[in-house]
Amino acid sequence: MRRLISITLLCVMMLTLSISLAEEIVPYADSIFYSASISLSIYKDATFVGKTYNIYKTISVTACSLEKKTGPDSWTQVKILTPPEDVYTNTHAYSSVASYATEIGIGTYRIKATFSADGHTITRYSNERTYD
Amino acid sequence: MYHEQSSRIAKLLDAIKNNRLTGDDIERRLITCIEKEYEKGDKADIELIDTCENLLSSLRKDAVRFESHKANYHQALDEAAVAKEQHHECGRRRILRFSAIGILAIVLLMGRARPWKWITVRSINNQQQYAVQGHEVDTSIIKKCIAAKGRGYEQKTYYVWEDVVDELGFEPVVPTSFLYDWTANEYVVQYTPDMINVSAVYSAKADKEKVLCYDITLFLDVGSAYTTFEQNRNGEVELIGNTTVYISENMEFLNLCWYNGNQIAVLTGDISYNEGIDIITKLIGGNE
Repeated sequence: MRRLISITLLCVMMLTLSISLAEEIVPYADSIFYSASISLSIYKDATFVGKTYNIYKTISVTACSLEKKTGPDSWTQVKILTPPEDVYTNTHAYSSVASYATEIGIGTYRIKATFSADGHTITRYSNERTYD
Repeated sequence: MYHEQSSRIAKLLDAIKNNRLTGDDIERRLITCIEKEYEKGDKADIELIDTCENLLSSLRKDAVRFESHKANYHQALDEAAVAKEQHHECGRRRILRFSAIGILAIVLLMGRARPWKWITVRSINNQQQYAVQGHEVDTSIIKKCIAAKGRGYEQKTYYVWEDVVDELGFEPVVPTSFLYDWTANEYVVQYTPDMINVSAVYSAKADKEKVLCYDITLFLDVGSAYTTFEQNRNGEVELIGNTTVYISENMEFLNLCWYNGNQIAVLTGDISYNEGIDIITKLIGGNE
């Protein structure tokens, strides 16, 4: 009986711990990409760089959107952008640059992009930039 | 129970007094009585056994001493007690073992549930990827290399390290000859207007599924150097020589990141902590 209570308590502890730790998972962990980033420059162009742990048949940016800052911690999607046309094959690296000068107006913006390696996707945000 | 036994003795005594039993009958009954008591194990009535044994001894008048089993009985009781204790001990050990497995499971769970601990210089805030600035050292070689690329956005793939060196016009510190257990599968050189990045992917000679990646970024201008590195506030720091190495985990992969002057490097893959430190020690040693 005591053993049963011990096992039950242990299970409850483990469940509680896993739930509490799961909340600490940072959404940047990825088993395919070891890095992926977008850099938005003062010239309103964005540099996309992604690196994978292994060689994949195709690596590309499949989706891209522009977000405008609407508050201290709030962003609103204002446009769907055309992702860079570059598709790299049989490699572990992706890099591309695209100009969004016509899409970006006045205000503070960032770019959201989805990288894909053989169908495995991750989404990342660029740094924010303010344009006057 | 005690009354029942007493009555049996009383009946026996009564039978003896009235000469209804022979000497052999008495002895047999006493022996039977003793054996029955012994069969009760730790509930045996020792006083009754003593009485019966004394009676037997008196009957035989030391001609043939009754051989008492009391010593054996007590020994058996002791052994039973020891066995019982061992059983409890075994139970305690089982609980301890179970607890240890539970703790191990919790530790493993913690390891799995905290996959992204790291990394370099600043922490992510509001899902932003911040620029990490390299140190401005001698950038003339990098500047010359980037200038040769015009606007500078380009990516090239190589399979031989010497071709990378030919392309760049200089040789950055990349693990090559000393990685005896790994085979380089690919090198990629990326150019942007403000940095050159060289990355390599390796697979283990013993197990092709095991991967290792090395990534070095050579910054031209600290003000416009951007990194692909991601980070968070957790992680470990190891000092190798004068270089601070930030160590973390991404899922099942170990990440080690450090910077040296205007270079920022990442080593990541299916490697143990010690393997990572060993590789970096060789790299940094080769860089000094």
